[in-house]
Amino acid sequence: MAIFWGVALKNDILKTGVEILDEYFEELSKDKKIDQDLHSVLLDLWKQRRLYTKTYLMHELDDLLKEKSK
Amino acid sequence: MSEPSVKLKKLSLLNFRGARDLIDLNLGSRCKSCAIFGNNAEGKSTFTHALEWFFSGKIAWLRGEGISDEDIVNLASSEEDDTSVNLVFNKSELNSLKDYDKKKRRSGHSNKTQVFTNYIENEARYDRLYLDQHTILWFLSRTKGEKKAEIAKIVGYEDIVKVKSVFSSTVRDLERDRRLWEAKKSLEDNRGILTKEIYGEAINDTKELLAKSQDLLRIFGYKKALTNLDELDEAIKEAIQLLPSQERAEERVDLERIKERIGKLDKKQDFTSLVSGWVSNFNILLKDQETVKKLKMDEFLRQAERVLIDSPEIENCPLCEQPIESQEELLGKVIERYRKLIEIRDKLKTHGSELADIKSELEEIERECSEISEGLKKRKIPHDSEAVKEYKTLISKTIQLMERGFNDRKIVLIDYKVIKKQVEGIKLVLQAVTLELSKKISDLAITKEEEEKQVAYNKIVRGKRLVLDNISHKKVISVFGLLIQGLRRVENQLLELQNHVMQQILDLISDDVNKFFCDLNKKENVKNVKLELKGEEGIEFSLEFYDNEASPPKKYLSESQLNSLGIAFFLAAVKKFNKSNKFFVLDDVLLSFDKNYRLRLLDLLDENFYDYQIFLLTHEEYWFQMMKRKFPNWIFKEVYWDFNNGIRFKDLKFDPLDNIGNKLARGEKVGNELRTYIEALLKEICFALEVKLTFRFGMDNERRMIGEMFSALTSSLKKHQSNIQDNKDYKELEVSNFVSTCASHHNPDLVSPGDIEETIEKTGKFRKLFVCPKGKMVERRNNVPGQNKISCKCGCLQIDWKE
Repeated sequence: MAIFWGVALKNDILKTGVEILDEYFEELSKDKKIDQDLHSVLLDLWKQRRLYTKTYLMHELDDLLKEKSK
Repeated sequence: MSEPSVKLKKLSLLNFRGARDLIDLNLGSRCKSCAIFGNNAEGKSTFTHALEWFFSGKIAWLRGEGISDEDIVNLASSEEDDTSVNLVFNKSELNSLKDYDKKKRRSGHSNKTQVFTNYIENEARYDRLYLDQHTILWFLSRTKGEKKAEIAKIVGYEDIVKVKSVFSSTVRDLERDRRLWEAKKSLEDNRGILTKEIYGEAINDTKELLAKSQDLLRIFGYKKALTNLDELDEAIKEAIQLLPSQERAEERVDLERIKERIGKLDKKQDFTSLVSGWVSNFNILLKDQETVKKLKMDEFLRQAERVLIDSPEIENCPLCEQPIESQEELLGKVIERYRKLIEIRDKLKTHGSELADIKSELEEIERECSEISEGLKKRKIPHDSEAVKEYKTLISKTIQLMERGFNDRKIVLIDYKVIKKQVEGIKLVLQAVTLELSKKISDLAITKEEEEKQVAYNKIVRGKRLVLDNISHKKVISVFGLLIQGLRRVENQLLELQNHVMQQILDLISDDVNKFFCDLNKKENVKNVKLELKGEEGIEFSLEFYDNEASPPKKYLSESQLNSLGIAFFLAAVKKFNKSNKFFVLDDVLLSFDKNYRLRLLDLLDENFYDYQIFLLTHEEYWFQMMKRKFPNWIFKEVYWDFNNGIRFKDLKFDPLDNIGNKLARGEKVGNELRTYIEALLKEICFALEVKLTFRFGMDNERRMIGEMFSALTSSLKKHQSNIQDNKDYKELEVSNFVSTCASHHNPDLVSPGDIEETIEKTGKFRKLFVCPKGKMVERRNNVPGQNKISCKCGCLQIDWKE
C-alpha cells in the first residue's frame, strides 16, 4: 500500500498507468487539502480521459475561476 | 498480466524498402528463431523496419528533413505496384497484411477485427520488439529525464508521465495568467492611491470602507451609522445635493482655461521677428538670381565632370564641339560651378525646413485665436470678434506670401507696418477680455466649505470604487491561489506516485539488467548494475566499476561495455514488460563486440530466452557460423541485394569453404581467409577433443598457429590410439605446401592459386574426418558405450579413441 498525502493506493506493480490513475483520482477526494470542486472537475475530466492535454483542464478551470470569483 | 505468447510463422515483404519482389521469411509452424546474415547494405534491416512499420506505422531511422512516409516504398517499384508487409502469427486471428496506398499516401491493415485492433493498439503497443545499434546509442545518450520518459513508455506508465506533465504545465500557465497579474497589479496600485490620496492607509474590506466613508460624510451633516453598501449609496445621493453647483464650477473652469490661453498667446502675438529673420535671409539668397536659375544645371555639370574624368582623351566639347584647350582646367571650372550650385541648393533646403517650422508656429497662433474666440462665444463674453478675425486673416496671408516666394524662388515682400497695426489691435482686444474674465471668475469662485465638501465627496466616491475593486481583485487572487495550490499538490502527488511505481519497476528490471550485463562482461570488474531515480525527474544507470560508483556509466565504460549495457536493458525490458509478443529482433547490435562477447551473448540468449522466438541479424560471418553451431534448430538465411530484384535469400546450405572457393574462382585473393578458416577449424577440433596446448596469458592464448595445432592434435590422436592421424586426408593437409607456408609465417596469399584450390579440397576432406554430414563435431565427451570410440552428438560419425 502506497500513501501519498493521505491518498492510499493498493499494490500497483502489476497495474497499468491508467489503472493507477483511475484509483488515484477516485481516492483524491479524501485529500482535504484539495478543493472539492476542483477534485470533482479533475475526476470528471479523468473519467473522460481528458487529462492528456491541458485544453479541457484550462477550460474547466476558467469556469471555476469565474464561478468562485463572483 | 498474462504471459506473452505471440510468435511469427511468416513474414512477407513486397516492394517494401530493400525488398522488390515478394520475399517470404518462413519460420515454420513451430515459429522457429532465425539468423540472417548479409553484408552491409544488403537489406537485413529491411526485415526489422518491416516489423517496426507494421506495429508502429513509422520507422524511427527514417525521420528527419526530406524524409516522408513514401520512403518505405521500394525505389525500383512502379506506381502501380503494391507495397505491403504481411505477418502470419501463431494466433491466426492476428494475421494481417499492412499495405501502403501510394496515391492516397495512407497505410492500413487488412485485419479490421476488434481482437487485432486491441492487439496492435493496446496489448502490443509498448512491446520491445527490435533493437539496433542506432537505438542503443540513442537510448544511452538520452538525458536522465528522457530515459525516465522512455522507460515509462516501455512499462506502460506513460499515462502517468503525460498527465503529470499536463498538471505541471497548467500550474505554470495559471501562475503566469494575465488575469492574476492584472489583479495583483491593480490591487497594489489601488492600495497606493488609497494611502496617498484618500484615506492615508490601505482599506481592505467593506467594514473599514463604511467607517471611513462615515467620517468623510460628517461634513455634509450626515450622522446615521452606515451598516452596508446600500446605505452608503443613499448617503452619497444625499451628499451630492449639498455640493456647489456643477454648472458654476464648469463655467469657472472654462473661463480660467480661456484666460490661461490668452496669457500664453500674449507672448506670441507679435510674430514680426519670427517672420522677418527668415524673409531677410531668403531675399539675400535670391539676389543672385542668375545662379538660382542655373540650379537645374547641376545634373548636367555632374555628368560633364564624369565624362571629363572617364574620358581624358576627349578633344572637343561634346555639347558645343569647340576644342578643349586644357582638359584639367575645364574640369576644375566644372567642379567649381557644380560646387557653387550645391551650396545654393543646400541653403534653399535649409530655408525650406525653417519655413515649415515658422508655418507650424503661425498656424498654432491661428488655432489658439480660434479656440479663444469660440470659448468666449460659448460663455457669452463680449469681445471684438472682427479684430480677431482680421488678425487670423493676416496670419494666413503672411504664410501664403512666404510659401509662394519660396516655391517660385522670388523675393518675399511683407508689409511689417500692417502687421504691427493688427497686432496692437488684437492686444487691446484681448486685454479688455482678460479684465472681463477676471471679474467673472471672481464672481464664480466657491467658498472654502464648498471646496472641502467637494474634496470629501470625491474621496468617498473614488475610495468606494477602489476598495470594492480591491475586494474583487483579492477574490480573484485567492481563487487562483486555491486552484494553483490544489493543482500543484496533485502535480507533486503524481510525481511521487510516478517515482514510487517507477522505483518498483526499476528494482524489478535492475536484477535482470545486472545479470545480463554481468553475463556479457564476465571478466570485467563491473557489478551492481542498476537503474536509479536521479533527482525528481530522471533515471540513470549506475554501477560499480572497480568498486567505484560509476554514474552515468559512460564516464567509465568502454564503447562495447556501453553497448552491452544497452543490450542488457533491452533484454530485461523484453523479459519483464512485453505483454503480447514472445519474439524480438537484434539487428546488428554487436558493432564493437569482440569474439568473447559474441559467444556470451549467444549463451545468454540460450539460457534466458530459450522459449522466445529470436531474430539475430548480423553482417559478421564468423558470428553467423557461431550461431549455426550454437542453435542448430534455428533457421539460417543469407541475404543479398541488387537494385532490380531487391533482397533475395541465398542458398541456405552456406559453407564458408565453398564461399572461399567461389571467391578464388572469381580471381580474388583468399589465402588469408583460408588460413583463418583452417585455424578456426583446428581450434574447434582441438577444443572438442580437449587437445592440450601450451597455456598462454590473455589474447596470446587465442592466437594459435596452424602448425602448432596440427602438432598437438596429432600427438593427442596418437596418445589416444586413434586411427585418424594416419588417414590419407589428414596427412595430405598436414603436409600441404599451404600449411607449410602458413607455419613458416610466409604470406599465404603468395601461394599459387593452384595450390590454394587444392588446399580447399584437402581442407574439405580433412573436415569430414571430424565433422559429420549434419555439421556436428566429434567430441571427446561423447564416448561410444563399450567401445574405444568417440562420436558426434548424433552418433553418425565415430573415430577410434582410447582413454
